[in-house]
Amino acid sequence: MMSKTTNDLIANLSTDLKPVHRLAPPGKRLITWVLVALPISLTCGYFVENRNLALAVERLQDPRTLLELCAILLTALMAGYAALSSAQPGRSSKVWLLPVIPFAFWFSLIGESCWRLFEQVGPDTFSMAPHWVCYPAVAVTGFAPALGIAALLSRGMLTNPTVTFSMGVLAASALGALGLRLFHQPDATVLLLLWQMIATLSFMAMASLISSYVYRRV
Amino acid sequence: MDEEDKWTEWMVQAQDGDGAAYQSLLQAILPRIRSIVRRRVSDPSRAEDVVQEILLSVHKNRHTYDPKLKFAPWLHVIAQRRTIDYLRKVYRMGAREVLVDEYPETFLGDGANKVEEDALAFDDLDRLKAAMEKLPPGQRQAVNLLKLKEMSLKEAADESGMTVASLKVSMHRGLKALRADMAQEGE
Repeated sequence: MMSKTTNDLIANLSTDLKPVHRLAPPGKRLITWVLVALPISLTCGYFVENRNLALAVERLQDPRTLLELCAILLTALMAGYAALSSAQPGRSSKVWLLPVIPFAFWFSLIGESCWRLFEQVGPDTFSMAPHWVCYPAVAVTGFAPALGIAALLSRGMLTNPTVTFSMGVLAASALGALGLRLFHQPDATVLLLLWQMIATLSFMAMASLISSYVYRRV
Repeated sequence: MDEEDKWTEWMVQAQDGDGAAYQSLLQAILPRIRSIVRRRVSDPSRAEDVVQEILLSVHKNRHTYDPKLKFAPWLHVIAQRRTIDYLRKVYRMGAREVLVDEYPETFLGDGANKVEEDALAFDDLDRLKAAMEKLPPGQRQAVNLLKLKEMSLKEAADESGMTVASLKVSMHRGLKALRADMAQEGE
């Protein structure tokens, strides 16, 4: 009886089988994501930060900032690749290791900036309290990367949700941080990175809700 | 060409809409799926439920297979994931539910507690047969398997092909309809 039911299921699944559109390799989807989300994020960052192109040019000429931007971009690319790979069964399960080094490097640069600031202003002036004025810039630069990666991940299969979600959040936060680092007046600190991640989480949750609603309707 | 190369070829054809290749593939991978599931799920009928869940997952996610990669690791990830999902579900259910084969009718209403009258009414086989004939097929089958043949819910589900949940609903509705019908005839 059991086998009969399983055989019936196989027969049902095979009847009137429709062709499917194959999921593209993670590298190809990653390029699509960066090409679409990065210009939107940079444009939004430019407009929300008073069109301060001079500041962006100045930062691009500073070797240390350039190094930091490279670390941020590499983190975004590696984490994005890891997220997209983890949502496609059969690919390496160790893919989450890819962004570890660029992220650690980026984080160490932020840590060093914070330490220098702490030494300059002293413990009385140094504050870890939220800077609410930064939040619009964080949200505006982060929404396109977050919605984009959520849309791409929704076509895959969540076989390891923890890796997929954490890598997706890191990737989108990093890509959003690029625009922020170029156009936002205050230096990026640990707190700003935290804000970036919270914003990304909110956008991804929103995107998941919207996509599950849309899939139910289709 | 070895077995796994054949699977890859069939999967590529299935992605292009070839139903015959897909049927051959699903039949061919069935023993592999069963062996993965039975390493973790010992009850054969429950294991078969998980096997079917995996087949549905394979079907739903067949677009995620990349023909440049081997097919077996793709299948293994899906099979293991679904088996773990099933075990988690069982663990969660076990923490908050007690499974019983017989569901005592213990509602507060008087109508639900006429055990002796029900027993007397159901002893009249001719009346019971006549009332059973009036039931919809699903309810009739549920009452027949669970009450007359005294099968467990799991056995009845295997026999009828219905899910446990729909069996419970059909039996409850069937008994209610039988009581109403026989009470009407008795008046």
